[in-house]
Amino acid sequence: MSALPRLRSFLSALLRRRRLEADMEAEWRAHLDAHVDALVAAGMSPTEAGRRARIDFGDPLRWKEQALEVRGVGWISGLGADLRYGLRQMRRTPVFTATVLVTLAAGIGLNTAVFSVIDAVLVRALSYPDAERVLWITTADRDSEVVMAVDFLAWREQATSLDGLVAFDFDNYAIYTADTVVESRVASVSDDFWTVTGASPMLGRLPLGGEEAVLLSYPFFVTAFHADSGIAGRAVRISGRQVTIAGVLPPDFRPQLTRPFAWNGLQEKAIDAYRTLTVTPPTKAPNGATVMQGVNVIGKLKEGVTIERARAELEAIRSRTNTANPKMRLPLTLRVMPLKEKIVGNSTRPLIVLLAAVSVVFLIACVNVAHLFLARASARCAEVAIRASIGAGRWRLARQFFIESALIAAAGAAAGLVVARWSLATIVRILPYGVPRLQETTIDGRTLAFAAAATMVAALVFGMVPVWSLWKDDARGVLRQTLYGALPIAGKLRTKAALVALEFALTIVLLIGAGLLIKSLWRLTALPDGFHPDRIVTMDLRFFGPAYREQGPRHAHAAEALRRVSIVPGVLAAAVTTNANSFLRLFRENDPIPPRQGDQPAEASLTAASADLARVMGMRVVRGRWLTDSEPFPAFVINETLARRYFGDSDPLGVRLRVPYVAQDSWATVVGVVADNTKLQRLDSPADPDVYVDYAHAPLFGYSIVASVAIDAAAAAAEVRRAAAGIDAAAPVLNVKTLEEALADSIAPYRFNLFTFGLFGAVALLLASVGIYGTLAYSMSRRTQEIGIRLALGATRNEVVAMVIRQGMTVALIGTLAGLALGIAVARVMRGLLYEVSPSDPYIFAAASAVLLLTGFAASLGPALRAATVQPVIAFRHE
Amino acid sequence: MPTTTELLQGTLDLLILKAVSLRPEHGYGILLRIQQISRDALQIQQGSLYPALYRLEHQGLIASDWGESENKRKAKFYRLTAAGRRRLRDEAEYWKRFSEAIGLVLAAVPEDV
Repeated sequence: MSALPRLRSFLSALLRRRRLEADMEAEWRAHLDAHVDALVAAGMSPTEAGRRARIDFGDPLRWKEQALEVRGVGWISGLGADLRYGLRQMRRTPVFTATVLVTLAAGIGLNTAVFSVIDAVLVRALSYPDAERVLWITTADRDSEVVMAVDFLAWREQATSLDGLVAFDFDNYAIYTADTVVESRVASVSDDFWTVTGASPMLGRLPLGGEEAVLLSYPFFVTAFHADSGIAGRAVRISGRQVTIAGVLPPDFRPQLTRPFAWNGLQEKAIDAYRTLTVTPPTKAPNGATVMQGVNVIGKLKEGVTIERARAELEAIRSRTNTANPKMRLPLTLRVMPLKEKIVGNSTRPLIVLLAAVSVVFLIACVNVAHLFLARASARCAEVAIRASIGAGRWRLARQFFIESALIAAAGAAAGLVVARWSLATIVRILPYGVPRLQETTIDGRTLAFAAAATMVAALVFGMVPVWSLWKDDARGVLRQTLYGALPIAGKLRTKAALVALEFALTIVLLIGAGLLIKSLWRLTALPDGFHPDRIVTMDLRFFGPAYREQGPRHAHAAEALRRVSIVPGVLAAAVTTNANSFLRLFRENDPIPPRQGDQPAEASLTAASADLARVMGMRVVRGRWLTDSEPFPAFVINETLARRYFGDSDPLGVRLRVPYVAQDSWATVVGVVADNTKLQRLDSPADPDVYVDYAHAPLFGYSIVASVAIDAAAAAAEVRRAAAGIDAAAPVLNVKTLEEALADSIAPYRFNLFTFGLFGAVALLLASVGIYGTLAYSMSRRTQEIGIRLALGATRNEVVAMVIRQGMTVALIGTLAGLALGIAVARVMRGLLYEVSPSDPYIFAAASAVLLLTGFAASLGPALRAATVQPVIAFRHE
Repeated sequence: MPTTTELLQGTLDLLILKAVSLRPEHGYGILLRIQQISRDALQIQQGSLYPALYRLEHQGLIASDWGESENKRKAKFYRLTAAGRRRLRDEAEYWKRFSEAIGLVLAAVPEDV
């Protein structure tokens, strides 16, 4: 017999159900009529015949059900009924449903979000053609990585193992668009950039070799130039220079580059435009110093060439360059690694820790789902028993429970997707640079599927528990046990307690993690007395064009800006400063400072400062005095770290020092020592030796103005900006913000870790308290009679409360203790994420335990108090 | 031990096929025909005939068309398809051989064993 007629019959039954039913009814009506006719003909009264015919025919509903079944569509109508029943169950137990949904949403959602981040950051290839061949190449002294122009030029000329070598750098430029001037992030890139990235402009063309041109990123093209397609080929003013806009890059052009050099003081930001960069050989400055560009470099490995071979070749070229230029102090070591490793390498450990944390949340979620269903299962055993004893088949019941569980699980998965999207969007919005490549993150479908499947399995397995009992015993047995209070799955209570203990153990691990991070953040943001970054406005000024080629006009500009900003209403004090991020060699008159600290020569970071800097920044002078704006000779103030490290017990005051760039022909006198404040520029910088020099004697390449304001810093910022920007358009004002904002940006990775860990810890705490509450509440509801008896026999209500709480706290305590042991191991892995906090900080462990046990206590209190209100008489009436 | 009725109910399909093999018949007619063939030994609720009919139709052994009954009522008539006719022949053959075999068994006398 062929399958085709069956399929046709199945489909018509499925799709034309209504017509099929009408057909059947017409057919049966004809049958009944014929039967009535026959009965009347045999002498029966018409009324009696009608009644008789209906009896002979039987229950049409039953035949209809069977008729659908024989066509293979019966299960579908049954499914509809089960779905409706399932939905009704969900509505009837809103607390249970909501709890399961929240648990599933948290478990699935957070897991998906974290796995998606990890996929984007660690797993996915960079968006370069042949991304695995793109290398990060740099030379380094200690932590400062930079490639000097001589090296770059030599490599580009001589290296045969590379298929392209790109020099790049970042800067903020003022770009004069059609209607306004916007501050934009520009990447300057050398010619090979276009081939290495495989760029192809959507408008216009790539720059010609040696041409000074700029290509716009798509978002910038839209926001700054209103997507005007006629823009290609036009000239635009970039910080005073006329540059041709060669073209516009497509929206998906987002090559990953490294962070800006630390000493540029630039935060990470999306790149608005790419500008051609020409790397030039070193030149001699008028004062005899060698001026040389420093750049970032990426290179593309030739096909089939190993990194090691490329490294060896670059090293060989470098040693020739060194021999040819004996006077240049080039960085000591060469580093070559895949670009991806450079970009995401540092985030591997935090992300792995994050992964572990979210897995724990996931595990807790699964356990919670399991025992929520288990708790309900007990209550529903009676229902199952009754339904089975009035004729429902085991499979029929199994199917129905399956559908109920699946419904909840599906709703939970949907909610999980919402949570995943929300948490990803939130993280990207508030901490876009917390993790490199974070913005490339999209929801990872595989993870969503996995997380949804795993929680669904938990829901399904445990949702089916009530039906299992039918397999072990017949309906009568189950019913009898249920009615006499001895539940078929009462033995599972021990299992449930174990599950709750497990939740507590897992939760405390997360709480410890979150606690350590909170303490790190607290350490990071603990500020010295007198330093109020929320009331300090900071901004950067840059010089462009021929008017500022000499230092004179620069100093004049700084003095004028300082004067104008100082008189802005609301400004208490203003000062000039520079970024101090590069280390300079220190020299001492007649008495070279001997290298301490291994091979490192004496070094310090140099900051130019004006008279009010100490006041604005709340710096405390511990010895001598601070700088003035009219020092006749170069004057230095050093910090305590420097004093301690290089002068030991001897008095640094009056000592004459020299550093490169400052007062090349004279010595500077140390006039004071200030207390360390490591939080002036970044919150996570270590205590480094610092030298402050009066700015009149320091070269300015650009400078910053900091101003302490009386009240509303945000409002004052606008005024301060206007005052400084009005001096000269060739010295634009950039990055105006409160110091607090600038500092917060500097610890974005810490905040990212804290945000995620804090979130996970809170979710885990919530889930664990739901777990212990649910277990106790359930166990109390089963023990109403026992408690009634206890009360009747003379137990006081206080004793009952104590008994229940003891029961809950035993579970909580066991779980917590087990978790503490686990926590010690896990915290050790987090060492790298912490700042000035020991991974085994006893206060954090104590605090986490306290929080968890208190939560357990609070969750036990409700059921305990309820148990104490049991009325013995009513409890017995149950029996 | 099964009664004749139980045996007959187990072979309801065969009875239906036989009933409609004579001429196209509507449901009530099939019922009367079966009662007639089985000499009222088959006691079923009348409605239960229909799931059986629909199953056979679903299997392609019988087919149906709307028509008019002898007393001018609209009724659905079932007829045997080619597949149904083959099935009926096979089943009849099987039952014939089966009953012959049983007959032989029952007719055996001690000497034969």
